[in-house]
Amino acid sequence: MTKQRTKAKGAIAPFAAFCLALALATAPARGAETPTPADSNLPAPGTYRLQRIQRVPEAQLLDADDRPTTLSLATRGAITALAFFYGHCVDPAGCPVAWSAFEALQKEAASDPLLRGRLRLVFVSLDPRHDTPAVMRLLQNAENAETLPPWRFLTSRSQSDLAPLLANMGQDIAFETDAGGLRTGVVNHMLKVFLIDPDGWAREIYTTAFLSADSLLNDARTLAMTHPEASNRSEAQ
Amino acid sequence: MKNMTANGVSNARVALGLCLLAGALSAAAVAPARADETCNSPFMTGLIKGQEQYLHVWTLGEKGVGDESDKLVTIDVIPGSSTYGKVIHALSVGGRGEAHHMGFTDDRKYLWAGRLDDNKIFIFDVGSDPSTPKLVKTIDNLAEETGLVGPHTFYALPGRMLVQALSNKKDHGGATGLITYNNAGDLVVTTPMPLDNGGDGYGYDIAVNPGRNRMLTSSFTGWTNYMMDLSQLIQDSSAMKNFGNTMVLWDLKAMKPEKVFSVPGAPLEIRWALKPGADWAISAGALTSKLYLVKEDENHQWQAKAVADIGDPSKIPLPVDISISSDASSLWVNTFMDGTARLFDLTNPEAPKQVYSKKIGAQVNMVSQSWDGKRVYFTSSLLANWDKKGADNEQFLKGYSWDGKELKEDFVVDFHKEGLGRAHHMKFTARMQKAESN
Repeated sequence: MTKQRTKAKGAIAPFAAFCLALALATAPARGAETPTPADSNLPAPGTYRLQRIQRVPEAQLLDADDRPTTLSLATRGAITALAFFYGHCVDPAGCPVAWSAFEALQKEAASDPLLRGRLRLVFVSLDPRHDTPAVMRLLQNAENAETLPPWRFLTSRSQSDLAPLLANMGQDIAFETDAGGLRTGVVNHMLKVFLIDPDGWAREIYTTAFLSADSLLNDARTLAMTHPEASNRSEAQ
Repeated sequence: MKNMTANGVSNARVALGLCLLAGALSAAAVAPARADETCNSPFMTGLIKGQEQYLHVWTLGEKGVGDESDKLVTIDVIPGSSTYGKVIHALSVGGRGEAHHMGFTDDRKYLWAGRLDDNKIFIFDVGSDPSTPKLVKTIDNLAEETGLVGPHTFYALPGRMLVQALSNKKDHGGATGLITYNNAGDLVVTTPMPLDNGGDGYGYDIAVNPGRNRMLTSSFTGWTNYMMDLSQLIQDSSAMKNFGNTMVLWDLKAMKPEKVFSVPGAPLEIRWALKPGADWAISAGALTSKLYLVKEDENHQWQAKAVADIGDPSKIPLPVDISISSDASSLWVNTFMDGTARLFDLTNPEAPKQVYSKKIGAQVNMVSQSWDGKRVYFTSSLLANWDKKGADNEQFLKGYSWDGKELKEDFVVDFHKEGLGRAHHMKFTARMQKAESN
């Protein structure tokens, strides 16, 4: 186990990434990572048990090809890391933290025989008005490759379709409005990442301040050890 | 395992940026809390770094006082408000079950409040409108489900609530455990306090250092003692042996005890230093009147040791609640018997020094300070059967300003005159907080 944890934190969100790309022209941009100097003291994978915290509820969603799907289709059968996000999010303590953690997790899992065929990543949009299936497709295409565990991007038809899922998952959100009552585009929310077992139980929940790819990876390995049957290829396409 | 680092900005994010160019952006969001007003779970969001607006007091019903029921009392603490320092809401929950401590869920939307005698846990919605909390759920089967009694500390973990019980159903002694609920109030797991490797089985407070994956617990006493009249208890030499003398360091992720420290005299509240990089915690021993420091030694072994006396231990001032400043430079320590608040300089946590004291009342128990340390609030009740009798049974909430030199009284709510009862644990709320970009 590593003695030095690096917290995948504060990566740059899509819009900001674009601005940065413009500013830096051809120079590669880097996420604003915050190394965590302390030894994380995580126990070795498989030496501890992750409790069944809550059942992940069913939800009607849309996939990146604008087809109706359900949350269970995207999660059941695999070890799933799931986060709620929205495309405009630039809060350094918000979605970019999850994005960086997921990218690091996906990259690491790709070379891990325990996780390569068992781990699935899922992002569900908090803002279906702006995050259309077309946007999801763009993201999904960019974040997937044959050599990487799958990363699904899902949205929904409407906020009212999404609301029960958010309520059941304890994912509180509020749309910021300006003085005239119009939405500014900001979705106030507390970032939560859920690690879900193949049977649809949330086995760990991570919030912004202490989300790290190391911790996600450690817990995913622990789940994979107790769920050798898990497969990220079981999802209905 | 390799270090995990996200390298660069992905194609996806640049691509989406192109799609969303027209978006008007603001960095505002609900910020995560490193810690709450210095004493709460670091997993909690919505840190109030500015002015708290409402103060909720979990209040024990008292015979002959008002409706005699336990209640959640809400006080307006907005400076300049027409009801500043006044009770604006009181929600009785029925009966008297030894109301004691409270804790917010990770999203700060709900406040869990426990009763040590009948073991009920009340869940209040304080997110919808913090000025008027609403009771949304009561857990009334804790003893039956877990075998434990006396739900004391409520400590938010992501998506769940960790509850430290004080006792057990079988013999009402000190052997107890930790109970994990999910945020919906469903039982997840029960974890016994260690009885081996020096463990005495007692429990009291919980404090987590997430960056180190470490949790500390402390130890008090069982139902038989905390429900006994205090004057009777201190004359019962056999009963006085039944107090905890340990703190336990846990692997938080694994929820496994890692090390048991000998900390004599019922170490109660635990506070981790919130200053970045300061990996130490402090606690106060109720019966020994000492401050204990938990810290790694030069060999990176966690140790606990006494570092200061609180008042004159021979007079048993009975240290109760403590409150650490957000920069870990100072610590308020209340001593119940003399009703005094004492400020310790923690600049050197190995040698805290008392630098100020003020008598708050005939008795004082809980203390809560704002994030900036400029406002300090005190309440009076310890336990229904441990509070003083007669005229000394003052029951109050007192709000003070602290200028670094002197506590200046801003308001007093007399819980007897207001017909409320015994004032115990306090929590702050404010309407929705905007982000602080950390």
